[in-house]
Amino acid sequence: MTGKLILNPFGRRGTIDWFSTLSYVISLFLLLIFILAPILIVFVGVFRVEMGWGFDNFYRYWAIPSMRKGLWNALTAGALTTLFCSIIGVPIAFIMTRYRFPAYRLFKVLLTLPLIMPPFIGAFSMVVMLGRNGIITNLLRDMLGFRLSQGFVSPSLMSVVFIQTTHLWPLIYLNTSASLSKLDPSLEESARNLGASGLKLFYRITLPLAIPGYVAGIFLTFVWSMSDIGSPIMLSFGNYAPSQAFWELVRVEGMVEYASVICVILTVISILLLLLVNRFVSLKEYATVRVGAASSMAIKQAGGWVTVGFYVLLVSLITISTLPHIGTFIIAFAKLPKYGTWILQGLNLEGWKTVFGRAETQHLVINSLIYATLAGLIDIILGALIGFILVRKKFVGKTALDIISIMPLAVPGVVIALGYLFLFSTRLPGTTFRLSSFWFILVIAYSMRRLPYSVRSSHAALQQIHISLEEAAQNLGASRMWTMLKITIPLMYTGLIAGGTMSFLTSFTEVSTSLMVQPLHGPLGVHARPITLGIYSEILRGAGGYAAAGALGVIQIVIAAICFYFINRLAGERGELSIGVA
Amino acid sequence: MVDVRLENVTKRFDDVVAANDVSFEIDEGSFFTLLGPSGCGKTTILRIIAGFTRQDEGDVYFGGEIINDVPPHKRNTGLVFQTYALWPHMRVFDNIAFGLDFQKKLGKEEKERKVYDTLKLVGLEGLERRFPSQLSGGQQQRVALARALVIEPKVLLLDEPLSNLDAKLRVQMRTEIKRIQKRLGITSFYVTHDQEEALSISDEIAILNNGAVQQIGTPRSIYEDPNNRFVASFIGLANFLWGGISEIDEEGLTATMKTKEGVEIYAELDPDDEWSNGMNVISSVRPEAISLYKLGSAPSEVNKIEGSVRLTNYLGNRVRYEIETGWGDTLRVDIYNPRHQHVYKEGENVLMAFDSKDVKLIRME
Repeated sequence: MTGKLILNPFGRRGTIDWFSTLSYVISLFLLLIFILAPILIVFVGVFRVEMGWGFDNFYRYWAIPSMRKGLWNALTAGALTTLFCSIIGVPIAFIMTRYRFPAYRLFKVLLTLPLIMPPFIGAFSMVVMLGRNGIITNLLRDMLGFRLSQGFVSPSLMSVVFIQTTHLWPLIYLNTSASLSKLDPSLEESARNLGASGLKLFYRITLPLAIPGYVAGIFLTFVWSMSDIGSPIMLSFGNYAPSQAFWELVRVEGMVEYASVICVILTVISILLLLLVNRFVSLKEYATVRVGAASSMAIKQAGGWVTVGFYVLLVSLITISTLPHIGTFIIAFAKLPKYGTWILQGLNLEGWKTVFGRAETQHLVINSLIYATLAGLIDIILGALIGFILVRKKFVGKTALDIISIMPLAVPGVVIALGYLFLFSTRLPGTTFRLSSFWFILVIAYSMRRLPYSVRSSHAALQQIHISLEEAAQNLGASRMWTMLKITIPLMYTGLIAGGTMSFLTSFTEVSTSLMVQPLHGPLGVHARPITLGIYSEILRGAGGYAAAGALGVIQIVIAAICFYFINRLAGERGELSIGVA
Repeated sequence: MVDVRLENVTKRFDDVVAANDVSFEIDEGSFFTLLGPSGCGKTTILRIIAGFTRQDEGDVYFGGEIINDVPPHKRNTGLVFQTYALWPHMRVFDNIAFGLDFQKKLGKEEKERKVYDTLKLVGLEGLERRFPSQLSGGQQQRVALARALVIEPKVLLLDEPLSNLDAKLRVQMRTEIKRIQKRLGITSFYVTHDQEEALSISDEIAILNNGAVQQIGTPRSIYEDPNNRFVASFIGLANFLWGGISEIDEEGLTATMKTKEGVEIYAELDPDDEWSNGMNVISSVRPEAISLYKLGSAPSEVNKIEGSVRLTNYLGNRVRYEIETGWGDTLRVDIYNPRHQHVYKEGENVLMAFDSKDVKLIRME
């Protein structure tokens, strides 16, 4: 990248006109303020001490054993979750790309179910199902005499890992199968032709070729797990770095400095990891909602016993992975069993009445729908513009635009949230107005956190549009604007909408900024809380709030499922779909 | 329709000179082809004419007007892309009709009539409701052509339009393009690396190498009177013999060239050029201009070289021989219609003979 400004208006690669210049300036400006600045302010703030600058905050943080333990736990959980997700995800990817068996399509759909599970309520459902007094825990004890004093999930590191694994393994499965199905069949065929077969073929040819996708999956899984707030909170597992940051922020006498230190450490780790990963794979390619060609690999029909084996594997995996979904529905619709038993006490619609009847909760769904829709729209527009500039234009500092737009993928959500609190909680000059108290700040936070999806999907879509398609229009007399409107955008349409829907869906179930940035004024009145925060406060109310939390969770699941179906339909027009990042 | 003129057009990409002081003129209504090996800068020149690339130096004229700063969409050229560049989200009809939206207010009926006329012209009636993906390569090619023609451009630009078609279709389509071009009388600029295509379709050809024009002329003059070694070897095959002019006859019509091995070659001279004794030259002889005789015969041709057959390659309509001379050069000889002729075997000694009028002398640069 030379980054040289082509002053010649007829440069070889794209022309510089007022429209793209304006788009470039505006998008770079937005990215600098709403992505880079919040991250930087956390970094700068952490070195701020009473007398100037220094590492004091780090020393003080490090002096606290529970903090050290929390960091260690987060890293351990990241590593273990990644390991377990690989053990599950890679073989499943291989099976699903190479074999066909009865009900294959059904399984394919079921395997993506964990992705539609909102992480926050999901962790809570796991406690309700598998905790010390969990429904399944009690069921197994009564039916099989299987006793676990702490239940299957307890406030422990291994339980955090377990919950994360059930949620995150599809990341590795989908990214690995994306790589596998993109392989040119002739690569394997030529190896076969030269005498390779079976395991040798797999280790020497197939596996190395699938590595880019797999490595991307590893990275995303590790960063997600390491910066997870939801599961530790729901398990009441205290020593976990990101949730410690959260506690320090919301506690009355919390130390914001510690939150900053945690954020800085997590960011540095994930950026170092990103650099390492970049040696294998450009992460950019994998943040894409991929709308690629269907697998053309050598696909085998599985034999009878093999099919039985696959079924056992897939059914047990899907059962465990859908426990949170089942749990959420139970919490939302059923009277929970009495203490120590597992028999549901009948139908219970109190939760729904609460959600739609009480003033405090009525607005939650509407708020989140508004926030997520606006965030999705912003991402579609901004993503299209940035993608267009990245692919078709040459500007000074274009690389910066590229890097900043992909940053939110590597930077933990808690960092963005903290940065927003620091940056936007001061009064705007000359007024009493704080940006952080205005609901739109959440829309911005969501749209910036999810921007990588739409930037990458428009980037990918544009790269598939040969420049001659645009030139042909200009040659016939169409201006640049008209060309963009009639040719470029219609051709990018599928990618843009798929990316925007991903932004909407993940904003709707977002956790970190939803819990931490708490604006005061909502779009429809006094309440600005998003749905995830609503779930959290309902759970905090104790048993009386569970049903409402469950009902809100069901709403999240249903909306996520609709979005997923929609994205699949969109992608179905062109082939198979896989989602790089959930 | 206009004539197109390039004057001293130069374009550099970093260190590569894609167009080096290129000048030529395309007469109104004529079919002009830019022919050269891949990477020689052909497409760059076409893009300069279309306005997608701006030349560093020089001027482009349409009908006597400089159009250097006119953006692509105002140049009124019709460009047929190598990849066709059909819009996959539009039907054939909409692809073709697209350009008409920018013409002076056309009524809906007028527009439809134009599209259907063009569809008929390219032989695609009945396919207007299809999407490009539902068409064969040849049909897509016709849509691309129709899309460029329907706006009645001043100049039709074709960028290797046939290179993605199979051999049979290629021959068929180039006849078709020529037919349409003649019928509409449209000024056309065609870029290709296929010499047969260029020879068959063009009124005039410019040979381009490393961004520089080597020769401009009718297909016949390019083939028969190549003015340098590159042109002679790029268009068809040529045998080259190096030497110096040892004698020029009084009228200046024929010369004798002597190679360093002492072989004398008699050549007719192009009287428009200046020739002098001692000048270093290359004799270029086409393979089909050489006849073969058994050793010891006395052919009527003035030039005779003995040699030994190294390779006999039977090609159906002709036999291609590779024959090694006594001093180690290899000459290629094509003998057409071999049906009733003796076919020499590898290892046989033969006599090659050719007339002085079949020798083209090229001055060494």
